[in-house]
Amino acid sequence: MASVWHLAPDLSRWFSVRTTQSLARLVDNMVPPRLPSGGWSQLVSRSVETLQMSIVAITIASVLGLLVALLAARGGTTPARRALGWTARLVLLLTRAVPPPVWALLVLFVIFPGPLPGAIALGIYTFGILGRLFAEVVEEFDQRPREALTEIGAPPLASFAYASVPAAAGQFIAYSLYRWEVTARETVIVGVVGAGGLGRLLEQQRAGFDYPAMTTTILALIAVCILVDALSIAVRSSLRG
Amino acid sequence: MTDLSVLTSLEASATGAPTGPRARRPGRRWRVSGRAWLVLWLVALVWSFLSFLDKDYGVVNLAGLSAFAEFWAHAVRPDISPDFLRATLAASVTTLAFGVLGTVLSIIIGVVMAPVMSQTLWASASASGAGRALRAGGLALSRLSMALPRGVHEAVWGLLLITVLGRDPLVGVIAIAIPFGAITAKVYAELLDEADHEPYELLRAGGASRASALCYGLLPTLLPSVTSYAFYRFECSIRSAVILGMIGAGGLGLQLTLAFQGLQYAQMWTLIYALVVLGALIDHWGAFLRRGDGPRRWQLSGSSPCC
Repeated sequence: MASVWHLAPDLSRWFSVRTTQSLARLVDNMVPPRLPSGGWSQLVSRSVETLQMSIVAITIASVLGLLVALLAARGGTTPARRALGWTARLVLLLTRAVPPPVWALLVLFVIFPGPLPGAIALGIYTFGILGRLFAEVVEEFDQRPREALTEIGAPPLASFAYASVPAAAGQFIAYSLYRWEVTARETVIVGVVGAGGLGRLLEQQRAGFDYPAMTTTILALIAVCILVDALSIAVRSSLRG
Repeated sequence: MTDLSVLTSLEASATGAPTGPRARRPGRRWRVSGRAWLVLWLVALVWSFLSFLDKDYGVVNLAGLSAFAEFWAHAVRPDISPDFLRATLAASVTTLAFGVLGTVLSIIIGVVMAPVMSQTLWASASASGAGRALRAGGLALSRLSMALPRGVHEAVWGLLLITVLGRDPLVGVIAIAIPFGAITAKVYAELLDEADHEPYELLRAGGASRASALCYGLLPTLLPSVTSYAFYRFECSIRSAVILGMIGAGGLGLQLTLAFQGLQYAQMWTLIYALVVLGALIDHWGAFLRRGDGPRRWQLSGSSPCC
């Protein structure tokens, strides 16, 4: 109730004639869809770019997430280890609290516009989420093999790599694949601020009032997401064996 | 007790037995085809990087480096003037309100649409051919009608709504409610179909209508999963609300965009700290509910998959 009061929605605007008209005009404009300027080659190259962005982003996120997760996992014994874990969790919190478009705007300071800054921005954000998920996995599983290795003299990193990672690999991969599906969907939001892919195309078309082409772009986005979902399901089922 | 990872796996478009990340273990075949996937992945990665780096004007923009450094330098001195703090607080409340109303609306959509999408409602009592075909068609149609809102990202809905309504605060709410409502409806429909149908069948046999049999025969057993999924959706809504704000719906996202356009680094950091606090609150709240200190009915188990 407090939310309604705070936003103070003006319902009369919603049912006004003007709104109805502009909605009708939008629907009228969007159907039937039309190819964007540049035709199929433009659409396909943007779709491929979107796919590439998601691949690079999820790779950055998974690799960094794995490295930081072992620091962020609770259960450190020494004060130094605990402080390190606290810092790692804070970094993960910061990276996932700031939405991907903001990261994209930041990355655009130092890297020329294109798909790469978008991929990096998505990678940073997804890193925050995957790092936390990986850390939870690390916290939950059996610590004894790792402790045994450390006890017989293995360095902490090596015992983590040989005892913990193989045991948790299945879950790590499952989470990464799940986040890959989400990342493919989120490429559109970094594209909107100008970081490449289908999202950028969509924003250009919106700014140019090219509504029929917007419909096509949205359909292409859905197609890319379906492709990524299908790939992810295929990998999962082959891993399940 | 409902495992959230099982619940969220119901979101996937594939039909079949839901399996949480926990349920799978490497089998015998995984070595061979796992390696093949790995090679495929590496090839795709290298190809992506090469095509990204293939530019005439280079990749790194050294001219922007000073602005980038200046941004980070302001991390220790955010804008803490009372005026701006008040604006930040108001923006945070707006973002929260988007999340709350968006969730409420999507749960309403979910509860209304779930029975329509479930096999339970469309299951035919009679075996006549025409009636069965009609029912199957109805089920397929209702599922298809929810596939489009689900497939389009909330940011795209936001962009479309803004062209219709302008910068109306309700744009944020509706843009969250459309895709999230459709996902919620799908998950609730799957829950309905997987529930124990015995009480429902008994009520139906006793002459109850479909609707009242649903309410009294199925709803009580489903309530824990339904509420825990609703809370999970709320966490997702808050994150989306920030992004929708950046598109122009208002709240923290809009303030951030404005600060960025004016290169007000100090204000940007105030807003980022507000986001971090909001994020930490959501995380801790979710963890609190999941740990089981909360009211028993809302208990969730398992780790949060993060939307």
